[in-house]
Amino acid sequence: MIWVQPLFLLSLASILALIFIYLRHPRRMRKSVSQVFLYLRARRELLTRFTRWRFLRSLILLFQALTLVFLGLAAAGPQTNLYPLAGRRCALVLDNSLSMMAQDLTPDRFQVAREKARQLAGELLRGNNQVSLWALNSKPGLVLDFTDELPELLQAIDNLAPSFLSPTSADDLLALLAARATGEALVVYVLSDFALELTPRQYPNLELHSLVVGEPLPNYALVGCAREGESLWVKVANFSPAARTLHLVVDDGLAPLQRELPLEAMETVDLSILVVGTPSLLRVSIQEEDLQPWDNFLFLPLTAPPRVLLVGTSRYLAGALESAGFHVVQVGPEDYRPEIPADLLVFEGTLPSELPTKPFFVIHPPPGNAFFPWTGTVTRPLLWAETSPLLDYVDLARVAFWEAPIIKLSPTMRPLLRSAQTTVLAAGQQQGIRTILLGPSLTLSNLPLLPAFPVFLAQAMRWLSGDPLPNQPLEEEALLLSPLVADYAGGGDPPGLYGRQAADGLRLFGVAPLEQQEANLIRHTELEGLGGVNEQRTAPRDLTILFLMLALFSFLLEELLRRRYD
Amino acid sequence: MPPETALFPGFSDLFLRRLSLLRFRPRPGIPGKGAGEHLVRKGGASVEFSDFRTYTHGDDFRLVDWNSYARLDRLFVKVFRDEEGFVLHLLLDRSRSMDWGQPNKLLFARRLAAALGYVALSAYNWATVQTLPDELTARGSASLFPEHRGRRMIPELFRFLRDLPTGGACELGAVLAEYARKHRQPGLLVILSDALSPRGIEGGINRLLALGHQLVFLHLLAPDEIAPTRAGEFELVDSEWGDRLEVSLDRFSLRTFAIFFERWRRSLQDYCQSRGVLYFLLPTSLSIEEVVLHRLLQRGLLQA
Repeated sequence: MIWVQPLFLLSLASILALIFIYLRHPRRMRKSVSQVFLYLRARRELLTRFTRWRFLRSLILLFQALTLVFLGLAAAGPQTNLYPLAGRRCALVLDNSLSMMAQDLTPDRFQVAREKARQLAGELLRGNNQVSLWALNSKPGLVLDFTDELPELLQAIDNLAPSFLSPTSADDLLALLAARATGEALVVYVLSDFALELTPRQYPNLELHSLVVGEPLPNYALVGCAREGESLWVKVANFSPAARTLHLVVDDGLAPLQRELPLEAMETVDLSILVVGTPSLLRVSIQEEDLQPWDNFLFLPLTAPPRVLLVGTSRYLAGALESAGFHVVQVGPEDYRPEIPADLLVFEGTLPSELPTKPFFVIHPPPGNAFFPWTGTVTRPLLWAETSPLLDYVDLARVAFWEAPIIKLSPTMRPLLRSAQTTVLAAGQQQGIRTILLGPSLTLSNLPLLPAFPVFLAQAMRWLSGDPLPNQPLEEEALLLSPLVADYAGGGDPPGLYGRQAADGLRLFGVAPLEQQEANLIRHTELEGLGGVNEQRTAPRDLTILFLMLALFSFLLEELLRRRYD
Repeated sequence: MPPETALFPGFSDLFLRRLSLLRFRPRPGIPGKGAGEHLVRKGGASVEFSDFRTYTHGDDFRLVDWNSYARLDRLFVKVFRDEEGFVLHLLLDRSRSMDWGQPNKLLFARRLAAALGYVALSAYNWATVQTLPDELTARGSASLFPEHRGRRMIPELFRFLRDLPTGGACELGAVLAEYARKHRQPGLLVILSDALSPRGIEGGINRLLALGHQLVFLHLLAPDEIAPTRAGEFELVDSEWGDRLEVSLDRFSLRTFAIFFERWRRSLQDYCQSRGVLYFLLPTSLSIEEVVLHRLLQRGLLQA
């Protein structure tokens, strides 16, 4: 236990003062009596003959003294000793998220936490523990695996840089840590500006100690936003202990929108702002002074839907693309010009003389074209599909083509749907440009009539636009991507297929998932009064309960005595 | 209005008249002093017949019972009881511990002494008042009212008691023994005191009894002494000796003290009764009329 707290010392001094006062018996009322010798004899007799009364009186005094002691201890807030470990596996988690850049501590929270982590590392390794180092931010992860080499660990701690991107994802961290705990419980020390909480049944193999680094911020506000269709959703929170008027500015580079928001303490407000025009980037900020200014602004890139130039005459194809969220411009084959602005190209039944410089989708290339030459046709081909993410969720069981051209593919194209004689669907690169080829004419197929068609079309166009293929195996760290982040940044995209792409595309800088941020900040207020680097305090509550019980018991005992002897 | 009532405002005319009807009834054997109204056993000249005895040479012929001579042919003379006065010793404790309580114990004692002295003087007995401690007061007033008799001395007695100063500290047992040493003439000796003497008063009483005094102990106590009620944290200061004691008086300890005080008083009473000392517990909350006209009368110290 760590007792050397200013409040504790103060309480101790007050207890000593009380004891001194008690011993001194100050301010007794002077009373003149006709004699004192009988009082003296009576008192002696009382003390000698009524031993039980004397014992009970002493007991009451003892309880009262203990009450004072426990009251002082409860006010002092003793802290759990962190270093009695030996031979354990420990995880040292250093929060390097954005909020750790707050300069309520000198020089900032992160530097203080890092210094504390260095001390902890030394202490833990002296106890023959194995220590691993973890970083806590939006994508928490292992920095250094379990080691017993102090220089290596200190080097890793020193190399850990603050992350300016986003705040913490504590749930992910706990899940990761729990996964690394084998057999014996993993002892986790978290140095962060909020206290991680762990219910016993949540991860029984984790023994969590939170070391809170940070002062309660007297002026703390943050802003978060996301796109909701044509509108901008903005959430402004005032986590200061007093009411404040915050000035919100939404700047699209042309005409900044300003709004004054009077907010009570701990109040949040949600706004929905219509985005006019087609700005590519919004800067959302609040202007007030803040000890933690990093989350007072953010940039929201407003990615426009890909513009698709459809070269062909099929109206149903244009409709299918528009329903998938693309901005479609349709021109006839004779009107096609390479300079028409577009992100993607779709050629139906035609091909230009020169391959376009942008990704394109060719449906039923005309016979005699130079790029996808075909030598004949095959009627009612029997199809089978390769395993390809491009065809996931595409039900090909009922798809039938009346006729398909026999096309010779370049080696850079990968067949995805084929028959014995020809390739029906292929994807790959043509002269370095992403290309998808669908050989048969859609007019001779039932594919446009099936539900699989828009799915296939959307997945094909997304792939062409440069995103990784949906449902391809994700990177290891991507597994940590919180669903909360995806939902938040995805802006309403259907989860599962494009969630991660949407999340990446709408990456928000400088803001955390708001619910999590709120939770953290509430903990800041709960930890009011802590100074500098502190261990999580648990004892005061127990001692306060003990104090109350003792006070109640001594009161009851005294009352019982009075009733018995009066 | 008699002059005595002016001297003692608490005494009404009616009360003084009642007092004048009272007489002390001392124990037989108390030696008399001079003529008075107190009958003694030895032969005297009163009209109260006592006995016959054989005539001896020199007896007064007027005392010969001629009827007996006619029947028995022998000379007998009639013996009558003598009427003498006796000395009432009033020992009044005027120490600082007596000047305490509500009602004040010393004031009560002075009034009671005045009443008893009035009864004695009005019956043509001797009365003397000795205040304890017996040293001279700072103002030079005497601590002793010498032996006097007769109603004419009543105003003098009242003045003495009225002007009696307070003060001093005394070990009552020691001063009673000293009094016994100085006054060897036995009489009816009434002690008015609270008996709050750390060393006790038994030694002094024994010395007085040894001289043949008939002792009456009037134990004067204030109600707050018998059962103190005020609880709290106190520094008690002995008003007589100046001793100090720090006590915490709660209800329990107050009750314990009251029990202890009663036990102490009871032991004193038992001691007095075992030695033939007439003991009266007189809380100062009583009125003088109640004490004199009822309690002392009922117990036989006085008679109408």
